[in-house]
Amino acid sequence: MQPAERRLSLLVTVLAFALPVLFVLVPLAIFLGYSFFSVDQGTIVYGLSLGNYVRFFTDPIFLPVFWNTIVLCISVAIICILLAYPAAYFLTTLEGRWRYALLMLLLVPLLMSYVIKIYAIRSILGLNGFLNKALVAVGILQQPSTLFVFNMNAILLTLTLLLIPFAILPIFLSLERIPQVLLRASDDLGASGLQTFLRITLPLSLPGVASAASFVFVLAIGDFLTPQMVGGISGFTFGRILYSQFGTAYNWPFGAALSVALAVVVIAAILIGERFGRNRGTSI
Amino acid sequence: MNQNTDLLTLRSVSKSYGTVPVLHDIDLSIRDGEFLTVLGPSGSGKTTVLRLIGGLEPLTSGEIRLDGQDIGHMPINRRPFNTVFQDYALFPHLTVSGNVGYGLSVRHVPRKEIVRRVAEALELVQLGRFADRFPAQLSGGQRQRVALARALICQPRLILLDEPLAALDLELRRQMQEFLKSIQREIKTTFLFVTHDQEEAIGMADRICVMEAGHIRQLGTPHDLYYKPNCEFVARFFGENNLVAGQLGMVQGELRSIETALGRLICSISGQPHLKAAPDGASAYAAFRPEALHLADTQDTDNRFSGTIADLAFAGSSTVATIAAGVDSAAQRLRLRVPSRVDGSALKSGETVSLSFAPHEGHLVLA
Amino acid sequence: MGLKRLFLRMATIGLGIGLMTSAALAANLRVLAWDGYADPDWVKDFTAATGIGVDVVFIGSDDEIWAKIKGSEGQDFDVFAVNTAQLQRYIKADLVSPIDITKLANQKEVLPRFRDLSQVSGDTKDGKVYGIPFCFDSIGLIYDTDKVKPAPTSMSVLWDPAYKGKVLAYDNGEHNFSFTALTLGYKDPFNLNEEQMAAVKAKLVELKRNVLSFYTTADEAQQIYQNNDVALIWANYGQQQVKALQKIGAHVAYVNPSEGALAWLDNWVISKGVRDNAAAEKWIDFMLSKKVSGELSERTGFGNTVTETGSAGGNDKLVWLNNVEDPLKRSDMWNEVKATP
Repeated sequence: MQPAERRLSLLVTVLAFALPVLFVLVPLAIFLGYSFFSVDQGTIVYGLSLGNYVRFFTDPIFLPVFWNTIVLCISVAIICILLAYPAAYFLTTLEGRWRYALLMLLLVPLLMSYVIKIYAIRSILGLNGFLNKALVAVGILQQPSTLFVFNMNAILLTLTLLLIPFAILPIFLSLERIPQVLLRASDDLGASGLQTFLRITLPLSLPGVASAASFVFVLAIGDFLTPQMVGGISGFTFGRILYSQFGTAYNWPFGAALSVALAVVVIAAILIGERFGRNRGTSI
Repeated sequence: MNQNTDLLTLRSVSKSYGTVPVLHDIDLSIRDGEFLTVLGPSGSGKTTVLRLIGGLEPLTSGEIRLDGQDIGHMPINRRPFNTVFQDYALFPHLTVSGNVGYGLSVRHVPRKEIVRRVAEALELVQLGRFADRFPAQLSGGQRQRVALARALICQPRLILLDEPLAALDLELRRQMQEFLKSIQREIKTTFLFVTHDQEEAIGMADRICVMEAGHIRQLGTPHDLYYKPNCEFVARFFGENNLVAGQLGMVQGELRSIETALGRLICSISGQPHLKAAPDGASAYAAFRPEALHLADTQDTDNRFSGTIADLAFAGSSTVATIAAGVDSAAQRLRLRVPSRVDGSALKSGETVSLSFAPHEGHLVLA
Repeated sequence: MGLKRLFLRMATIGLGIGLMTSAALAANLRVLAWDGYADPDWVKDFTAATGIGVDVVFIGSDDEIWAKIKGSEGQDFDVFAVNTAQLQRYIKADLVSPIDITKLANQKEVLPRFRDLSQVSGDTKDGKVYGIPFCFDSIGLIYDTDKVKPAPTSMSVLWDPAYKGKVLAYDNGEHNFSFTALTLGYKDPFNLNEEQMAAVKAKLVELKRNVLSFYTTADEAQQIYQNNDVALIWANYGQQQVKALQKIGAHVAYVNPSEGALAWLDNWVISKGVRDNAAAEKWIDFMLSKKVSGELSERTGFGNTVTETGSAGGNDKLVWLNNVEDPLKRSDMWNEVKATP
């Protein structure tokens, strides 16, 4: 290698390590550091204490909200998987060109602004919204219902709609990766279509399901806008508390401590997803 | 089981992908208990034959008859056949015993019986110790045997093997050939084995079906194909052969002459009535094996011609010489194989030699 | 020797250029303000009249102002706009300079209630003036004139079970505690004792059960209004919000509650790091001119301190927002309200 070339490769290596360190680890470390500080009269006191964590575990409001939020996000993940799986499965049954055209179409919402999507979904779900109008028009409802907005249903529905592309993609990829010959082998050994699906397709697509679930969960638990905007009075999630510590209370240290708690859950979710996402054997 | 009764018959089977035909009107009978090899170069349609029988592809036209019943359109999972796939297609998330027991378990065979039969099958393929391994933890040859055990545990009427040895190295391939053959003898199940490797075919098959361009060119025992190829393709495809073009001449009992650039050659037509019936002057080839050719001595009067040794290659026990023969010496290159110990050392490159082959070792192939 | 001289000369030239550029920049007045407080045409007029160039930076929240001013210890800006409730915090942190009102000719012409700044809560400290009020609005109540009859006069209507699920409230602990305290009849809504805090919290939990949703931006409230059955909106954005709703054809009206409407009052203040105090004073005086103040009200719908406007007039009881006893505590208690099932 020429010296110049060597310098370049050294630079690339350094960057490859420096970027994640700079943009992921350092901020995380700063958060961790801040979580041991405290606030007095609107200014941050740089003295180390465990006060923020003690408060998180002892104050009656944080743990229940934390737990409810986790349950909510698990529900969202489950609903997303249940809807995304058939969609992804359907996609894999399509012929080449249609398959990717439709996949692209399903992913288009990702290009749109998150806030605008929430706005749009909220107007659809509202009392005078499209959903109610449609349900009344086809006679399912006698009059518009408040069932779909400013409650738990609305949060579930909206998060599901927003995050379902993140579930479809990994499931689709894992389904597509299953060699067709395995399914033929199963048929050949006498399995019915359903048996082949349950015994071969489903288990082999579980890695995709696991990453889909952890994607959706992580994105849902970090979301503070959706619960705020469509959840009404029941839309109080951990993300909201966290946001309020930074946005309104100006209590960064406590906010940092709450972030650390959230980060622990998120990292756990990613690890679990990764653990289940790994195939026992490499595919042959 | 009786090797003389037919297990499965293909009648006028054709297959097209869209407008591209890959099989033309195939007729083929598979005998009960035989080891039948379908041999052909890639693109010959050999794998398609296997896939049609196995139900992996839909039939375009024709019939596949089993026990007098057309099963050409029977769903794959109801056909009493099992396949050993080219790349084994083992289920990566199941253990060896999970893979082997799969066919029984989807048929709701009682758990106890599955355990017993899986153990037996693994014993048969000598993989008893590997029952709890995952496919990724096995070597190529071991995977191969798992795939075989998985196919034979369901006691199919026919086991279809789609180039199962292609991925193995030479030594392992030889071992597996013997192994497959011995298993087949032991369980007495009919094997349909697809390969492009003629050595493999010769070594294992009871009968070989040679395919080319969607047609069956010849079906017969390895011996028949080797010594009595019925067309130029088989003659060339099947081992080394010297082919010399010419026109058919007179019939003399079991012999017939052919006029070639090397002069008149006399070849055997024993057991090949179509050669006897062919008109005088018809285009044909005289075919003779390199080992049938020998340095002529004074007693050799028939099939005698001279040539120049263009090249010599020592191949262990035998030596192969490339001979430029005939009037227009560049036009006819022949191969001569002689035992190294006796004649090999006597040959010299550039030397002109007199050559001959016995009439009963020469054959005729219609062009 | 020659080399050393060359270096010295180069350094001198470099220093000279540096000083000149910073001097050129120093000539521009650095203003930090909310959108609507420093429109380009006013800036142009100001520069034309005084020869002083202006660089304006717009901000979007109180926290942002604090971050920008506190972050540079007041060195990055000369003048900025902040409300009376916030101002004390800046004074305490020594981020602002006292203002000599004798230099502000237009201050003598302002509406009577803004003339004596010692009477405007939050603008002075230890007899010194730190903020010049110029713009204000009340945080009143928007009601749908078709759905709410008779017209409400008090915020207590928000608790009326007749409007259950038809109330939009604002997602902010400080303000919600203050207005509820007013509704409960407490005299100083910004300094609540433990007992009062508890009472307000309980009242807010009650309010929450009547509420459809908590909003944060004016747009958001409007969108919810359009798609749902909303009767009452606690109008954090006051006139601005009413105007927007009326523009889309909503039948709404605005009322400042009789128990007193919270109101914010924005002031121009001069930062500690001001580079040209006279220029900053000129800016403030310019903003207090009849023309600019009038146009401000026309454009934003807010009240101004110079000309009398329709909203939050002299007859309405306005309670200027002030520093609350413990913002952190209010924020935490508001979270508790929201977390109460």
